[in-house]
Formats: sequence, C-alpha cells, structure tokens
Amino acid sequence: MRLWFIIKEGLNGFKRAPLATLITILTVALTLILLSIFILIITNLSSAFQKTYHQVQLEVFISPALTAEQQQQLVQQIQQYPEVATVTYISPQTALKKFQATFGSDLIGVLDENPLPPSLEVTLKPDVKHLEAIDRLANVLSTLPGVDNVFYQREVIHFLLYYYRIGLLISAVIGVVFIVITVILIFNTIRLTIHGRRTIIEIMQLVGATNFFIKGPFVVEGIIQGFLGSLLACGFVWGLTTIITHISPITPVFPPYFYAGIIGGGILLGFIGSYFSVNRYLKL
Amino acid sequence: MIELFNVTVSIANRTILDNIHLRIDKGEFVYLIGRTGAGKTTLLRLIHMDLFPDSGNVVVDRFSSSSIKKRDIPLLRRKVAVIFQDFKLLPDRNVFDNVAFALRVVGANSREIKSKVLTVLSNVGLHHKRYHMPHQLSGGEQQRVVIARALVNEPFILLADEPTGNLDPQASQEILDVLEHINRSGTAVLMATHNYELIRNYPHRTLVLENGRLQEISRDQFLKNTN
Repeated sequence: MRLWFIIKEGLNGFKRAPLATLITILTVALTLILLSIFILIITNLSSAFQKTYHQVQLEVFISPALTAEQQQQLVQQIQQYPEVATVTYISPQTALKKFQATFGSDLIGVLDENPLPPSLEVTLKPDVKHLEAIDRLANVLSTLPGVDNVFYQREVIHFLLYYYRIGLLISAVIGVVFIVITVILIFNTIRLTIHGRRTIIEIMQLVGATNFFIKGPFVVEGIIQGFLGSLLACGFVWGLTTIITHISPITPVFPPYFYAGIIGGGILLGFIGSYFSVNRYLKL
Repeated sequence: MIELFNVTVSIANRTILDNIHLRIDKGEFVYLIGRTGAGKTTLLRLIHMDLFPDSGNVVVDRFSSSSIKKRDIPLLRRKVAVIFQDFKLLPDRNVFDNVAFALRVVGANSREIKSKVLTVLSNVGLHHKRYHMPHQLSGGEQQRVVIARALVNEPFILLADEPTGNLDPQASQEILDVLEHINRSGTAVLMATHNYELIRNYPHRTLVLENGRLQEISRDQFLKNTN
C-alpha cells in the first residue's frame, strides 16, 4: 500500500506539473546527447588510433645463413617478450612480392637477384605506448644472435603517441567538464521542479510522513524522468549514427554497453538529483 | 501530557522564550495570547518539535526534546496536529483527497481512509463538499478542511497558530465552534491568537506571553486587560 502510494504519487507528478516534467526530460535528453556524442567521438578517435598503432611494427632483419630451425627458435624467443603481440616470418620471396606490390618495381629485372633478406615482422601489444619501451625492445632484439638489424618508424610512432597523449588529456578535461555540466544542469532542473512543489513536502512533514515517504514520490519521478530522457538521447544517437553509416564510409564504433550506460546514467542522475534536491526541503 | 521545563529559546541573539514552564493536560483547551512577535509560534514549534530549546526540556507524551530521535519526530507529529492561518491545502486535489493525504502518507489502507475521512468531514460540516476543489471553498471552509486533515490521524492535541488570522468574523466564529466541538470530543487544543474579541465568548484557560515570559491569567484579568 505504502509503496504503491509512493509510485502513484511519483507518476502523478507528471500530471501535476507537465511542463516542468517535459523540460526536465528534455534537459536530461539534451545533456546526455551531448555527452554521448562526446563519448562516441573519443571512442572513434581512440579506435582509429588503435588501428593505426596496430600497424606499427618492428622489422627484424635476420641473417640469411640461419637454418629453418634457428629461425623458428628466434621467432619463439622474440615471442617471449611481454611487449610483443605477434611475430611473423617473412621470407625473401614474400618480401619481394610485397615490395613489388607496394612500389611496382621489378627488382629481379634490375638486379638479377633478390636483394631482400629474410625478416621477422614484430607487432606490439596495444598497451605498449611508450617510445622508450619500444626503443628498449628494439635494442634488445638487435643484440640477439642471428639478428642483423632492427628497423622501425621511430618518428611516426613518436608522432602518433605524442598526439594520442595530448588527445587523451584534452578529452579527459573536456569529459570532466561535460559530466559536471550534465550533473549540474540535471540537478538544477530537477530542483526547480521540486521547488515548485515544496508545499506538498511541507504538508507531508506536518502530518507526520517519514523522510523516506516524503522522498519516495520525488525519487520515483526523478528516476522516470532520467529514464525517459536517456531513452530520448539513445533514440537520437541511434538515429544520428545510422544516418552517418548510410551517408558516409564511417562506421561508428561504440564502447561496450554504450546504450545501457546512457540509460543507466540517466536513471542514476534522476535518482541522485531528486534525492538530494528533496533533502534541501527536509528540515529533519 | 505536554510539559515544558525551564525552556529558553534565543533566535538571532534575542531571547524569545525565557525560562518557560508549562503543563497542558489531556483534553484541555488553552489560549495562548500575546502581541505579534511575542513568541507564540516559537512555543508551538517547540511542542511540534520543529524547533528545539537552547536549554530546558519539552516533553510531549512519551517524547522528550532532549532525547527524541530524528526518526521518531514523524510519529510525534501524527499525534500533535498543527494548523496555521495560511491553509496549506493542495490546490490540485479535492477536499476528500486533501484530508485523505494525511492518512495515505502514514500508510493507511483504502477502507480506513474512506471511513475516517468521511467521519472527520462530517465533524467539520464539510461532508457535502467533499468533491469540491479548494478554490471553490470560502476561507472558513478551507480552514475547516485543514482542521479535518489535522484531525484525521486522531491527534491528542491540536496546535492552532492564529487559525482565524485570515478569516472574517463570521468564519472565525465558525472555526472556534469547530475547535470547541473537537475539544468536547477529547482532543486538547492550544490556540495562539490575538483575536481577543473572538475568544471572549469562549472562556478557557488563558496564557499570556510577554517579554519572553509566560503567565497564566484569570478570566477577570483577561476581560479587564482586553477591554
């Protein structure tokens, strides 16, 4: 009975102040849309970086004199390093094909022989994002028996990592600002709605309602407003990303549980916003 | 039933109540008179435990201001009802729902709500207007709805803070009649007022609050002082 009253009163709040409720839902939706778009931009930039960074590799040129068994041992040895993701053996023939595919030149025709040595393509684990660690690995690999030379695009890696860190820093700052603005906006809107109905809180206190009972309907209302606002935000973001997918070659990447996170965030903000806003009007 | 022991209250460095002693017994009708700002509302707030004394103790039924827990204050307020000169009605609910609200928030069931609300509305003479909205009622009728809402939880005392402050003489008379009726059925009434003209014809124990001190005066003194 008491729980049902709380839920019913919470739902009735929509009827009693439809405009204020609509404004709250739209505020929640708008702020969550902005936050979602920001999260998507960051996720997609990060994903693009990861893809590019994944192509970064160390080319380990090995001695042509190594036997197949020695080559295999070397591959296994390199595989043991914690920074290493994969090691692929590239024979001189494969290297030649790659060269010809990339540059279109017929090396055999010019030199009469294949000048390319055998090599190992070493890719790095995604969490290896320090140039010093890559330098260290390259130095270690170059000292291994059978390794002639280690080549990697140090400047490109440096450039990628530098801008990745700056991007992370900027997005962290913007993210915090965004979240703070979202929370303040939603809290204030909910608080204004509750302020308009402070008489009901006063009457509830006069007639001996417990704080739990007074807060209940407002919290239910806040949760529903947060839920509906987040649904609107999800609908908008879904529509926007679908259009982007159709009209451009970009396929947006979503972080895990993106929509669930938006809905959960909306509900949580609605809950916390209403809970603390009612508290301001409780004298006890 | 209600007892104040050596109660002192200061607000903004001004002593509002100074070492007050007061006892109100079950079923009493007491007037609290004094000028505006004398501290009448402060005294009522102490009994309602909306305010706590700087020193001394307020005992209401089994609750004491020095030891009451926050979670027990709502329980106290179900038994100590309060009404004001501003009606504090919910404008979007009819008379029945305004009164029923006091029962709903304490978790009463529908059958109990219906029976108690109709009874209390009959007691204040508003049974026939139970589906009216507050704006369709006169000031006196709105105050009677507030009284009904205050009484529906069967309090042992009704604190009335200038209940006729916003009413014309006839409506004020009707409210006092209702309060008399309530008192006769066993509920104590503590009414703060400065409408001396009105209470002349309803003699009851009278307390005067002046310069922070509380003093009981006889009917003769009251009549003499207010002439």
